[in-house]
Amino acid sequence: MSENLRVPRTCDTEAVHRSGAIQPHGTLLVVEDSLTRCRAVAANCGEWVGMEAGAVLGRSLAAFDQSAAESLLEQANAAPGGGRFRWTFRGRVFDATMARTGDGWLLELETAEGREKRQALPEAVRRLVGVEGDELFDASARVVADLSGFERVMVYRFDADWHGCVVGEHLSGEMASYRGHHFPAGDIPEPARAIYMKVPVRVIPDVAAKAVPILPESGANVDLTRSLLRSVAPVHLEYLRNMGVGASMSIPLRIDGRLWGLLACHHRQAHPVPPATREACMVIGDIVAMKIGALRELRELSGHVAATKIQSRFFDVIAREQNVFDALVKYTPQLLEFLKAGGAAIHVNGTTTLLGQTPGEAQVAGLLEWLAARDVGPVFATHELSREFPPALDFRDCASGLLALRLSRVERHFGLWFRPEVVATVTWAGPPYEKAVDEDGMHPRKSFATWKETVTGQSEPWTETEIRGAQELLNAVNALVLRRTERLVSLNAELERKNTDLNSFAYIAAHDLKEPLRSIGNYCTFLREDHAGELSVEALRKLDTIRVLQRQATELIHALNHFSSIGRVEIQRQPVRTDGLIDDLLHVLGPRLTETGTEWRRPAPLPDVDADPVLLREVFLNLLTNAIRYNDKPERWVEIGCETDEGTGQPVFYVSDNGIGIRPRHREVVFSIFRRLHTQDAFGGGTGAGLAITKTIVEKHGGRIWIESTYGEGTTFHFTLS
Amino acid sequence: MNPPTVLVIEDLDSDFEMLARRLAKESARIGVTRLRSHEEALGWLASAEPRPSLIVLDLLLPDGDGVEILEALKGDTRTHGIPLIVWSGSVDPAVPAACQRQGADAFIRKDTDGPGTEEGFDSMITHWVHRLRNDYG
Repeated sequence: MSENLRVPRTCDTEAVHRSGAIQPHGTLLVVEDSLTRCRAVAANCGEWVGMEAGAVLGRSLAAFDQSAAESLLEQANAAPGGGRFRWTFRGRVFDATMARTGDGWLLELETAEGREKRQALPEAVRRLVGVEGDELFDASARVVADLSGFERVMVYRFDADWHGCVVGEHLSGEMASYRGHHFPAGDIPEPARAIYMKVPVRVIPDVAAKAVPILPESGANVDLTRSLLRSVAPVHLEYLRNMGVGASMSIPLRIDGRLWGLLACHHRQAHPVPPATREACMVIGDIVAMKIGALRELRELSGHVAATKIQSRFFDVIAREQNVFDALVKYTPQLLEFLKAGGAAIHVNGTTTLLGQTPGEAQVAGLLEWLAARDVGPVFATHELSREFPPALDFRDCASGLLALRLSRVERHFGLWFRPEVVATVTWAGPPYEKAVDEDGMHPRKSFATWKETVTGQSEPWTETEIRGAQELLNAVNALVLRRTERLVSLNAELERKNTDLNSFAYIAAHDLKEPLRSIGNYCTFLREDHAGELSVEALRKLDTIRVLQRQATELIHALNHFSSIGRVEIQRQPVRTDGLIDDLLHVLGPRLTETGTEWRRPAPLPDVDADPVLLREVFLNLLTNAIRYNDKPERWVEIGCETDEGTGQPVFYVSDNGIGIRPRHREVVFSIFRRLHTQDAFGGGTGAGLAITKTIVEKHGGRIWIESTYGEGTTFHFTLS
Repeated sequence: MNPPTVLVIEDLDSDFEMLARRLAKESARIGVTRLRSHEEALGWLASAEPRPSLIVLDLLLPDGDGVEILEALKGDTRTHGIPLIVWSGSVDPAVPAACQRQGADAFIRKDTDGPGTEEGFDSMITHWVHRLRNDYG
């Protein structure tokens, strides 16, 4: 492979693992599985083993050194996945590494010198033991720098989008600092990251060193993924040179199967890294990864605890609220704090409640529309809303960040939390969007000078803990809605039972209570018939009072029974000629009108309606009876008519009088069963059930009844039938 | 000719006494027989006792439904032709019609809904007693 080989146009597809060459700081033998035959060999093997490639190719190692071949076999059997060991071949001692490749082995030989560096490892590990939190980054960079001698050691962390940031650093000499600098994702492309998941270290001791080809030519097909010596892609060498780097070492930090970041080491000049040093740094890498992983787990755990706290606090709030969603609205100020949000919108049953700093109502409505149409999951979080929903640019100041909870799978209920825009300055190591592509392919960027970018339209990102807290909240809402539903079902069952009880009571009242009452009446009659002569006038008057009270009690029972039966009856709607119905009633009420001298008014014909004729008749009868009854004026009138509701177009009937009127505070009470506002005797009696029955009938028709009245001047009852 | 007799099937004493007084007012000659329950009524129907001129039947008896007695009386050839008045406290508007379908000759509500009903009750009794007089002389 030559330096002017065309490199693929995009780094991400570059076959970096089949470079067909190695770096010259060691040599490579590719042997068959049985270890009997050398299939490929690096062109520099003569310098290392004292035999030219041509002499080794196709031969068995045993032909050169029987015991060395045997020890290799032993090593392969002992560590079937490969490993590192001290190997003597033809009198020369090597630091050897065996690794699997396809159906053979990569045998890489390096210098056995520098083993004394291992002595420094225990001390290095001890230096990291007590270090916690973000201090770990600088501390581990320093430890690796001390072990390896690299001038710049960085802890490089990948973001979710694979761009990276230097979170820890140790410098010596004149090295420039990249602390806090961001690097675009393309700087460590996907194939490179994939290799970092497989190999524990990558060393380039000399950027200027010429790559050594693997022979024969078909050596280019050898999979060098697990090779330590694999040559460096020209584009990467160019990258390092542009950066002013003469040697590098990268140790992947892998946590839970994901590449968390790298320990990235740079040196301005070439910098040999003996295998023992490399090994010691790898151990540090493992420890750092473990510590970061443990720290993360701890954070997740405390995040989970915090999320659970949200849930239990919410349960406390809900316990005092009738409605789950009302409770959510009530709990929102606390949620704002927990979710570090600037504002919230709770949208339930078509109503939006806004709290804190939020977009306008119309803007929230548009956002809800988009969320509903987009069919986002139960929890949707973004810290750059305008990227997904461009209209959000208009309100990015208060809502660049959005955390949305879909509160119901069926209804359009949402809880939205907003985060304000945070105009941030991101420090890039060179302009991140510069791409240098010419006819040769792609070239790495040239400049790594600090390049400041102002980022707008973004909020602080939502953390895992916050998103999980929101999820817990949603679980709580769902659980509570479910519990409410279950309670509603049982309440309904109870209500049904109570209705049955009420019906039984009405039945008992109608039959069993009536008998003794009737007997009281009968005995009053017998007493009068048999003993009238013996009783004083006063006693007879009292006897008559008993008789009157007995009749009233009987009437009340009748009214109660009637009221309860109206409540149970199914309405039978049919077209009703309202005018005809009123004519009939006038016939019945005629004597009363005449008797009381009440003028009758019907200014216009009444519209026909769809209603239960029997029940509608009762409504009019009750209202007219009251209108005639509760009047103390010398000139009395009653008017019946109909208006049209401007909103619904529905007829609104009214019955008006110039009677005694109803005080505002009594306007609801009059509809209660057995609530008379007057004594039984005043205004000619009445049980007090009439208006309760009227209201029940109107409501059974889906209508509404209400009162307008001026006390002392008159009353108008209005009602609708749908 | 035997004096007319009225059979009253009624469990409540005061109601029975009320009725008995009305009948006595009309004529001291009217004989009144009283049965108190469903069971007594069916026992009487099965017996060979002399048949009355008029039957007054209460529907709500302690041990059963008066409508069954009505059915039995109207289904029996020996009693089927005897005028029968149902005298009930029921306010269910369907009951009078049901009784009439079963062959009852009249339905009188026991309740005194207001002034005038007692008079209505009396006139009903008078009407039937006069019919009895006409029939029996």
